[in-house]
Amino acid sequence: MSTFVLGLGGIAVMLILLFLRQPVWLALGVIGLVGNWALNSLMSAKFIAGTTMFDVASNYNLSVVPLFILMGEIATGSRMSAELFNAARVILSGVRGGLGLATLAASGAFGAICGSSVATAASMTRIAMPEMKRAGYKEGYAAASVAAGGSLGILIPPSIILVIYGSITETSVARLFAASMLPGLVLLLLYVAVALIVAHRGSSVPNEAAAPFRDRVLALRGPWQFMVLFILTIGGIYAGIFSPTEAASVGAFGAALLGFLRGSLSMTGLFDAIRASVLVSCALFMIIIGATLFANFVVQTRLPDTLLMLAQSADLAAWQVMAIIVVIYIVLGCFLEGIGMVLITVPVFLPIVIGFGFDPVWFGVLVALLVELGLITPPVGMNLFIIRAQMPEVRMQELYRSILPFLIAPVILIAILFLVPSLALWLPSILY
Amino acid sequence: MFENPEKTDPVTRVMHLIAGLALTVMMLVVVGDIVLRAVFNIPIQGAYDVVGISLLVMTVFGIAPVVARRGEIVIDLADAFFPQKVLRGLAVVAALTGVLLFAFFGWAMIAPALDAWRWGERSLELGIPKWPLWLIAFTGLVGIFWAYLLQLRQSLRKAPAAPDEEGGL
Repeated sequence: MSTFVLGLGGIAVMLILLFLRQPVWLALGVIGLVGNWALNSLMSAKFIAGTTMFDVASNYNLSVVPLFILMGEIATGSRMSAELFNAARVILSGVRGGLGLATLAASGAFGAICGSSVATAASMTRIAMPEMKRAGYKEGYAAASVAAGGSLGILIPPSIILVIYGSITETSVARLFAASMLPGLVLLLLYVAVALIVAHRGSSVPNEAAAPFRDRVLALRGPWQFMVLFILTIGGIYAGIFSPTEAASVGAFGAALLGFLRGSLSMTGLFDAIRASVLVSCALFMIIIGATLFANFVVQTRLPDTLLMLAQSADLAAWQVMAIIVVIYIVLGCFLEGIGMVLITVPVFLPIVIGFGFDPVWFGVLVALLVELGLITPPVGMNLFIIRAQMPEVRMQELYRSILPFLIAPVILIAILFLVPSLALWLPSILY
Repeated sequence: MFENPEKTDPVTRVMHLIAGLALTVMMLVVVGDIVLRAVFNIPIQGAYDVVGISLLVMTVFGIAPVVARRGEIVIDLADAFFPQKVLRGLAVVAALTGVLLFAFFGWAMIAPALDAWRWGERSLELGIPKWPLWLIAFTGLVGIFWAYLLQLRQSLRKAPAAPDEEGGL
């Protein structure tokens, strides 16, 4: 059996294991080790198994992952998302569908200090959904706004997906954070445009009274602590003052300090945030350990090189190859969880992407965007389930139907990224 | 959504506590290093090593509570297709695989740990011998093994719950 067939077979078996509800990390790790054994020897698999866990668990570059997660957990526990939403709803009052827009704006802003789409969606479901329901918004529109807004956390820095992408591809996390900022903002604007169009076309939203101008200006002061954290962390990275690990530590510490000063965080809340951060981080580290074992196997099968040769011999243009990769990601995103999808696919696709002359930083932004799309794509959009888990009265069919218009926004952004790559590459080029 | 065996199991409770402490230390050391460097121009000697060690402690001790809660990230597509009995069977297979995999990890880690002790490997900044870090990793590994046994017992009793927001990003 050729190594290429072995590689493809390994991926197929891994996907079957995932479908059979085996944990993502186990499926990756087992296939990685068994594949290594088949390719080389038991001793080779043993050597890889003996060092991988220790190496991953003590890798300084990965320390940024739990620290940014901690920052997001503390910010969530301090009800910063609620303050962002309250400020946004006053500022956008009077606009048809203003609460939906406020949800999107607050989600985008919260994503800028949280880094987790799921945490943003969970938090906004609790805050925005009851408000929209009270104001007479249709459940489907309200839930779709929350789901779409929640997904912004993956693209707007700090993004855990981009940190993990950076660590497995040895791409600078600071450059990735700089590259994802403008696409993140453009996506926010596209979501706002979709929300406005839906609000004006149907009867999903009621008319709302506008707040006085003075109140709107005063509302801008509300989320000042968000601005402080954002400037400290992302501003610190952009300005070259902090490394990502330092920015994440300062952000987590600053969020706790602000929470205590404002009385919105208790010691119990802090302990809960730390405990939750450990659980989320370690669940991710398990996948990274599994993915490291899997990537080692994939590289040895020379699968990426063979695929690259096949693509080159098929005389495909670079954009055609990328289009195929995008379609694969969109299909996988309908069924797979984001981090797992990145860790499974990037080792296979990145050599092909680079081989066809694309920038790995640009590809990182594209992958984050595709993961984001996967979070709201039926049938397995994680954000949709998060909303459903907290609001069981929202019917799944209604949710699926309402999210469809919002799927247009990331698809448009993908097209823009292809046509204007500098949307992602301009900011890192002037910062670094 | 997740079961919480920490209410009854002191091992995973203590491991979770240690992992949380390590995360806190990691954050405080980096912040302390930045403040001392900026204000007094005195960086904390070995901050890089402390962060690496804290991360190791957090990870190897933090995995056990994840496993005990059945908090590993799974794709729950099968839930719609299979009856509870089959799902419970799949959960038992996952727990058994975890037990076997960590037994393999334990066996595989003996050689590099002995090498670290024999050759006197040391950390980059502080020059701390690395073999005690391998001991920490083995301690964590024993805890993870224990957690997989707990998971196996749980899986034999009932089918797993659907994953919630704790399991993803």
